[in-house]
Amino acid sequence: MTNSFRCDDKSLLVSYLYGEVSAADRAAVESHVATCAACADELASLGAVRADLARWEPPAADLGFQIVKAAPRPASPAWWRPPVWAPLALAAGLLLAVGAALANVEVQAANGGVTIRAGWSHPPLTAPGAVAVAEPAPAHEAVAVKTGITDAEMQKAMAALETRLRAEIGTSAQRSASPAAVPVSLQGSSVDRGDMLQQVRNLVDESERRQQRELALRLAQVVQDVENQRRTDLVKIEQNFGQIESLTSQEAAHQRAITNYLVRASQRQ
Amino acid sequence: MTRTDEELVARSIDGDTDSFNQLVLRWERPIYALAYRVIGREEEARDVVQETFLRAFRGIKNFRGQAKFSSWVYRIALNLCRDWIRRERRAPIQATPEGIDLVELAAEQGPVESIETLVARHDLSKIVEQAMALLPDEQRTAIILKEYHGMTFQEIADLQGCPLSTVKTRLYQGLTVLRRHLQAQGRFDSASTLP
Repeated sequence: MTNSFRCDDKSLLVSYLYGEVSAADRAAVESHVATCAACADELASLGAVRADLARWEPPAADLGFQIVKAAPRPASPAWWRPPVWAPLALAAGLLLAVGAALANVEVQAANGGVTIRAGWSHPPLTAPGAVAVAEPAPAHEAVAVKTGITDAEMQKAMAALETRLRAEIGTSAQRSASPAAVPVSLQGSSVDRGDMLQQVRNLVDESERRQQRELALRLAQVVQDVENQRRTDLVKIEQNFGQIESLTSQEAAHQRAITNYLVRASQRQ
Repeated sequence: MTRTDEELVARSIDGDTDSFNQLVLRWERPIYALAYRVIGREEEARDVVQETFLRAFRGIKNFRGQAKFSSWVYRIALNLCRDWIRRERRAPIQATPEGIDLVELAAEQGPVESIETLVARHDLSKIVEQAMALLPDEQRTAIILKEYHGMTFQEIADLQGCPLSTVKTRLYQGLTVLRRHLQAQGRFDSASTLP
């Protein structure tokens, strides 16, 4: 404790300024300041500095920090724990299902065989003379895969027809060797031949119609796909434009920040 | 019912996270204000607040109550601020405070006035912030703890790890530098003159 105050006692001056001073020291300072203009002025200006300091407010900040404990993960019961290969099996099954859906796979079991069809073509219409084509496949061809437009199928049908025609012709030739059988056989053969030609024409016409329908369907599908793609591309382009605008704004802000930094740096020097 | 810091600390030590979060809610703004005034950057000040309470949470079991909880977190925050300043290796808040676009100001005001003048005229708060940026770290921290957090000389001495007389010296020197700078900016009336 001091009973007098000297002008160079800055420690006591600061204590007085902040009010952390004993009553005796406060009285000593006040007594000195009453007669010393320099100390009075210094005290007043330091008080003014403190008043200005009170005006400095930090910017508002969004705080709200919270400590959050992570919840413990529940342990799976032993019987429920999936095997290691389960995710792979699941993925493979999913892939098959999606593939089957896309390919329009159709499985039929009939006549002791299994037929798997894939593709979006309509099944061929049964023509009057197409029995040979529609006949059940031999045992070693029990599983047949038919996809899309049936050029191969058509060739196969034509080959079957050719075989059958040759068999008919061969049969009629054999029958022509017997005179009693000639009229009937010739008559029957001529009728069969006309029917057969008609059947072939029908088959060809039906095939052409089917191909035209298929073509129209495909064309419609392509048009639809193109339209969908066009819309998707438009959306993507709009999104990309938005991103580019955003990036441009960010870049401008960045450049502005760099400029500010350079100005400040030059100020320091 | 409002619990004291000591009660909340005791519950936190027992593992009560909600109690610790009440402490966070109570002290995050003062810690943010401290960090912002020391390092002068909003984003970094928020990071300091977050890191301060994370460290406090991790170390709460070792907190024996030898000091007030507030003093403890103040110390953690000040250490983090000091680390940040050292890491940056530059005078903190030397530059114009955030939120002021020098380019825009210059464009608006024209080339006659200097950039310093433009910024100085922005508002008093920014002037004070600039003036504080001129102080050495120790003086600035002492003034911040005294002016904005109401600490006693002894508490500041404990936090800064220096004698009480050093704290008073830092305060006096810091205030004197501020007075000169603020007077140069046209603050105070003519009655207040430089010694």
